[in-house]
Amino acid sequence: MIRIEQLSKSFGGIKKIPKIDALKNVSLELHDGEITGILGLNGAGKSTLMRLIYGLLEPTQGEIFVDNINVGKSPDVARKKLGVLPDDTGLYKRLTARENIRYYGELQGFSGEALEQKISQLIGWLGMETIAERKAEGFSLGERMKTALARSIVHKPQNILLDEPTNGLDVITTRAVRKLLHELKAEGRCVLFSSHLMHEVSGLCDRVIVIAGGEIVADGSVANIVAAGKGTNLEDAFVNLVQPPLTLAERN
Amino acid sequence: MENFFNTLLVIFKKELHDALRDRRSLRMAFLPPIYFVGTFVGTVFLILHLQNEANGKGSEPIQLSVLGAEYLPPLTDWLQEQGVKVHKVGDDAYRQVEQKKLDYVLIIPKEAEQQFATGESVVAWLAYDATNSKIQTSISFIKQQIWSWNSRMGSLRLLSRGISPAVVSPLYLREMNIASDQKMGFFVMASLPMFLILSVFIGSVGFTADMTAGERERRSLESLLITPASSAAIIMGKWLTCLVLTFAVLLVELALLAVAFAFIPFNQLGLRVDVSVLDLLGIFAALTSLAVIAVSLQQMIAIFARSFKDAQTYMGVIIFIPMLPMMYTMINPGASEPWFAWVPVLGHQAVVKDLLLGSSLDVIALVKFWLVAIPLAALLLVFTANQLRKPKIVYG
Repeated sequence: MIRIEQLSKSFGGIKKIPKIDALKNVSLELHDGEITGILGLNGAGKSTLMRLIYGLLEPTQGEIFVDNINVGKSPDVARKKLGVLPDDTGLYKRLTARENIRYYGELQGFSGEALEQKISQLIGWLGMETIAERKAEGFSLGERMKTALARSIVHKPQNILLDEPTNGLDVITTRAVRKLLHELKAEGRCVLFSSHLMHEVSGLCDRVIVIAGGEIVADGSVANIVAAGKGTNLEDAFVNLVQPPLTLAERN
Repeated sequence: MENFFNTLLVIFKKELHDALRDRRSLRMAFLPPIYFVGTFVGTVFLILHLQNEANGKGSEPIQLSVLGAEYLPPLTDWLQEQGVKVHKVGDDAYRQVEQKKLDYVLIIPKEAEQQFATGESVVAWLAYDATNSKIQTSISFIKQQIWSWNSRMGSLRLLSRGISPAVVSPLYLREMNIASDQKMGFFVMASLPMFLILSVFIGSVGFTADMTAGERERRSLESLLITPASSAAIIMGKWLTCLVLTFAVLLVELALLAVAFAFIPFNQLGLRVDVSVLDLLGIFAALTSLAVIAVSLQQMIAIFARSFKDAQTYMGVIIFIPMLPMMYTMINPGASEPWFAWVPVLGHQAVVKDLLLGSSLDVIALVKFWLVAIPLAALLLVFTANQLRKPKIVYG
């Protein structure tokens, strides 16, 4: 469970750099056993929100709790409860896929047979058997993404943040990731993922949050969003929500 | 606390594993010692060669072409007695020197026979090309022998007229060069501490760059920092890896030196080098404290680099830092003050030099090194660890 209370984040504002409000007074709660999708245009504040949750950015205002642990006060404890796949993440190229995953498991405090079993389980779920013992140098985008995903959840975190996890993946790999998300949900975990693919969000998410200009403009089930955006499908509704129709004055 | 050490160990194990697969950094680390020791051995043999030439021993006898040798046999006989190999040459000898077919020629004119017999001064010519540095030694040797024949002959002529030769020689100048050949050898030995200290500073530069700037470049840093691993444990783990690798580089270099010492004929250099394996281990012990500082310094610099290339540029600074204290010893050669031990590099240089020249290990100095190294390295590490999770480093 992740609770966000009146969160604001602004960048710049010192010297000649103009101040940008990336997030404005955002409050929300993400529940266990639910897949929440976060939709927004590029630069809407999705990645900023995630970075604030895993504590690598500090909020200008407000607080974040991961399983009731204050991220601002004890970030290291909170990070134990989080599994994160950041956007554009890199692997250790001289290590094999299995070694990459094992390293993260060990950093989370796991070792021995228990860890090896978890690694093998993830390799099975994501269909990585053929690449497990290969060095990451020269991995395709999909292979990299699967390895990164596996290492981010190797410690079975209660809360999982995925920034565009299916970006650029082929159909088979996308299906494997989707299957994994369902597995995680069935285990009662709290999953937040961002995506630009409407069909994926509508097929997968129990709840959708639309973010625009640093604010939440809609929050609810897919049906709720479609209604709120006055569209016939999620895509139309989303476009209407993030880009309000021009007023008469603006048209002229 | 137990958690901290576990994480530190996990990072250390992974980084070492990773580093040993990093061919580029391995090359960067272990080739310089080979170059260093190779250069050292090469320089020693070059000096030996130059010395042998200067002494005229070991090399071939000095050759001298003489035109008109038959007109002044006492001179050519004397030269031959002194070990010069005299060749008679034809009338075109001067031209041959001009055309560089001959290096030099001694030309004795026909009148010489008559002039010598009547006790007049003979004028002879030595033709050579002064810009040819190869013949310098031979020319000066020949000139010296001619002068000494000259003074002998003069003395004999005076004696035959009942005059003491001392009359024309109010002063005899005898040279006593105390520097002699040892100076050169000493110079070679003095360059070793600098080589060793430089190795400590650059030994693990490639690895440090890969572990900090490399993580940023590969975009793996953010994921690493999302784990609960504390910044201090991450930095310390990486630091420990680089430290171990620096030690390895240093040990390889000292081992190569040990082999070199066994084969270099130091006695020919007039040097008594008696560096035992124990002395080399003493050098290692002295330099470990310097490595502790050097690696922390590398990390602090590398963390601000965005890419591996960036880091390599920044690391240039690393070479200049040990140079600064060394400048002091260049300006004040031979200086060795008690306060040196409190200054990294300066103190290390003094101890390493002493060990190479046969003194025993100054244990008190070692203690002082560590008293400086530990707080300094700790300060650098804390500073670096505090930077690690700053947005400027992660997302900059």
